[in-house]
Amino acid sequence: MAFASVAEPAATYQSLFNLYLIFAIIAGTITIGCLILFPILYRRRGTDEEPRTEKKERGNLKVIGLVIVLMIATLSTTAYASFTVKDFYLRHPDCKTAICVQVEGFQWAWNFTYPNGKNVVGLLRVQDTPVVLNVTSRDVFHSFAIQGLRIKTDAILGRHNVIWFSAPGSCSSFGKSGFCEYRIQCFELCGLGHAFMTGRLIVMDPTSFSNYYNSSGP
Amino acid sequence: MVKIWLKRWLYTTDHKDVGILYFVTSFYFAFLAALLALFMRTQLAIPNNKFLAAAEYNQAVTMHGLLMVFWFLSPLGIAFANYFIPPQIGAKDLAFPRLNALSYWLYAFGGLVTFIGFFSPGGAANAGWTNYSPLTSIQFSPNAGETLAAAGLIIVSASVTVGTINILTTILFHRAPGMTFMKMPMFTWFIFFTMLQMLWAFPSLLAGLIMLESDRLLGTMFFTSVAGGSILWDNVFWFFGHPEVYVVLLPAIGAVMEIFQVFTNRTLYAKKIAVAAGFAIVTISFMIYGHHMFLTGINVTEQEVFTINTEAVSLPFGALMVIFVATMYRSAVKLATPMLFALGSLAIFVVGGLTGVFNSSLALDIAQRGTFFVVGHFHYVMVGASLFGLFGATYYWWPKMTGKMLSESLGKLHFIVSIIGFNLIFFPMFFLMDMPRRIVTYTADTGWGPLNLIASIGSYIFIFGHLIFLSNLVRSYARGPPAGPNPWHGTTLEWTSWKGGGPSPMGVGASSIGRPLLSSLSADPHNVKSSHGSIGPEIAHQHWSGRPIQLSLGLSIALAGLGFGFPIFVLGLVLLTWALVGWASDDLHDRFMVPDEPPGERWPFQTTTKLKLGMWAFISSEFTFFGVLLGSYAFVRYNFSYWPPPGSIHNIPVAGVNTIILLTSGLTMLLAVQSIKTGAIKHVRTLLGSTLALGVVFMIIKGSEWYDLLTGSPPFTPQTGLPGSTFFVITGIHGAHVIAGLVALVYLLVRTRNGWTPGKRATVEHFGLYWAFVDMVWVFVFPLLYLV
Repeated sequence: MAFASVAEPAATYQSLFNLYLIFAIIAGTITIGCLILFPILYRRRGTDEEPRTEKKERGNLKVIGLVIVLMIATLSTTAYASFTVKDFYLRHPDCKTAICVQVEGFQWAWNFTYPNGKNVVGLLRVQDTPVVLNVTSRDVFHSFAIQGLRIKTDAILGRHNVIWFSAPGSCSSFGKSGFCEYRIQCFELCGLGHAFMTGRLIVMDPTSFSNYYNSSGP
Repeated sequence: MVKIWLKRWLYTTDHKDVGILYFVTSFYFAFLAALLALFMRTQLAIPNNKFLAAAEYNQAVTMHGLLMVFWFLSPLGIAFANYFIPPQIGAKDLAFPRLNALSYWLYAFGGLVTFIGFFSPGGAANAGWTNYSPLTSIQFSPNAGETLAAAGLIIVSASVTVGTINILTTILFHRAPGMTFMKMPMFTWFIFFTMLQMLWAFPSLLAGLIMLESDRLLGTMFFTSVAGGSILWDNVFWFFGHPEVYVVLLPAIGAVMEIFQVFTNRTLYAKKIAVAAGFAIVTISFMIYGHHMFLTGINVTEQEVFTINTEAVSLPFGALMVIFVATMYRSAVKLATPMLFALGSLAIFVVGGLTGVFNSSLALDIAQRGTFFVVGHFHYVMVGASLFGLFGATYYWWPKMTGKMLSESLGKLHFIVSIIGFNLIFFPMFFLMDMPRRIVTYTADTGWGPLNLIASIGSYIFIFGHLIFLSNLVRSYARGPPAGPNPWHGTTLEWTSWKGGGPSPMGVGASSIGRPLLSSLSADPHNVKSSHGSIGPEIAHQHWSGRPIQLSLGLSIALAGLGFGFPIFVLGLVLLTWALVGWASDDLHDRFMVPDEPPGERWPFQTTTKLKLGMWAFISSEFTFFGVLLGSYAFVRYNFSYWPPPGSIHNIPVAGVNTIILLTSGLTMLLAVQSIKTGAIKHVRTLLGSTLALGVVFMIIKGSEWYDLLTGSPPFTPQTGLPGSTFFVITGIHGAHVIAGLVALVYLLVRTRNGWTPGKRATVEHFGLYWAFVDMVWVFVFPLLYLV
């Protein structure tokens, strides 16, 4: 079990996002640039008032074909990168090496059940090792996310969706608990309490976590 | 005068009048939806704000989405389609003027049925415009508002089906001589694409809503059970929902193409490729909806296919962008207001499209799903690209619609203010990737406050921009300078040869409802629809009919009764029946006549009739409808652990005999149609009567089958489980189709009682198509529900 010093899979996510962003900025700059520049460059100068109708249809297949080929190349790259990253997201560790927690959403909180039967609402305490979450819902459609770690999955009645993460124990800002904390939140409209269906992820050091895990309190 | 004014606007079937009704009504709904948006932005401006409670906020979120998508963006495009497609292709009117009025009134009343939810106990629908189940089930949303919203959506689906068939038939059948497909203006082309998408996407929504209402009112379990539930709704809704995105976008793109050609003084670059791109968008749009479901836990291979398909849809849009840019290259661009909005629409669409590529990724979606990044993205597409494009269309066509010019300086001011406001609202949202959508408030420690404040300030600026727009419209209408027939030097037919634009006088020469009225040229030359001067004596046909509004009102009251109780439902049904009988009686007495248009370009439908085209379009939409119903059946059955074995519930021999009876009725109907074709006219009424009798027997056996199931021991009812839910809903809907057919048969028998005309023969033939379709559906339903 490798000790992850950066949040996984958040780092992987960010690199993929940056790849898309670079392509988007290039494509956006060229296109919007043309849309701003051409009306200025080719503004009407008063001599050209009569509509010009060409007898033969204009159109150069080569230009459009070239752009399409470029787009296909770019999109294939991004799609391939996405598939790779998704694979990484899907390859979750098994419960021998990771902490496995059952997560159940209900109107309007999250219920966490540890392997030893320990049951907590709203607070997910782990240590800085990989964590596997098995997410479902008791009632309506929710979506479970620890957005700071770039993980999320829908919580649906009758379905179990598995996600995993590995959060570093060191971070720039510590929560009230004195440990690294991340926000847990619901990302699908689930009724009146949707905005308040939040929770906290607390990444403890191994000793504190094992004390907590073996204690009877919440 | 007031009376005649009212009568004109309530009873009109003229495409221009209906277009104006669509235009005004859609802006009315936009005003309501914009107010809701303003409330939301005010609430979110600062952390921990208490301006709105959660219940109010959720209603605002939901109704804003519903009204903007279904009652503003799409109908505004339809408004221009109504007004300008007939002149663009050289037709006098749409193919079915009364159906046009019908689709408008269904649209308008459907909106009111949805909106009235605000005044019902428990408030309006509050589960989001996507209506995700099971939050929309009666257990979690017991308020009448949810029922009313679904009812309103059912009405608007009906409106869309009727309107779509009408516009498609018009484009296919009513083009003037010489108006070949490749000569069709781009706006007409893109409305054509829009209509294809609407025709095949909305039935999926309709099927979903019927299942939803049946869950809520009859206790079926499509969306409350684990086997169906959220995933079934997601599939059914997004099969409609993603094409809907292009439905609101394509009319704007079509309008932008028209504007580009006029204000660059060039024809569109590579028009053939633009048309091909449109077809590609229509096709691919039906294959990408799964990107809304990446995190539901669907199979990874499915996700990868949907990722690739979603990326693939950006290829035709890429081609369109090249076409736009290339059209401007070395042209003579005149930056009048319509062109500014067209350019703004495209520039914003680039941002919306590129962020859409982010969302297409099955991996990036993990963090983006349900966040303000997505809100930013789809507002860049729907508000930015669609709305700015349609504003461009408004500035472009307003002079033709009113005969008066808008102020250019106010128009440019509107553009500048709204583009600044727009970007202030939605660009910060790309940086709010940690903030969930649809939350009523947030705490200060999230750090989302400043960006939200910017967005809220932007929303006030954006709204202010539209006040400028409104004042421009009012000012122009009151005292704008006259526009003349072609102020922009447009080259399409609505500018060059159509004299019919501009305000028509209030019901000139109107006497009685529905009769074709003649008014001489001297009344007002502006009112005369001369079909480009090809008809000798200038005759203005003014067709009025009260039936569309009566029928729509009846249906809407009946469906509102789903939320307000049985008496209202019955009242609506009575009104509906009265309107239908009235409509039929109008036809029996030839009270509403549409003059035939001289045949023009009808390739490849030269030998068919327009009614037959309309019927085929309708049947193709019914394919989606029953496909989704039977697909839902297959879905829940596949996911449900226990299903009673064949023969354990249903009496297969009886159902088998009943199947033979229905198929025999199909045979008699076929013989009737054949007899018409071969001229053996005297047998036709006998055969129609036999069809009617067989159909009635089918329904009686069906009814007794239902009765036995419902009262058996143990009873088999819609509430007892998914086998019951699917059986009763699917056979019920099929039965409703049979009953509608039987009513039509009675009408045919009455209509043909004293002799035959070519029109009556054609009607029988078209009905034959419908009856064959109903039989064919049963050929699928019977084995699926009884035998396996």
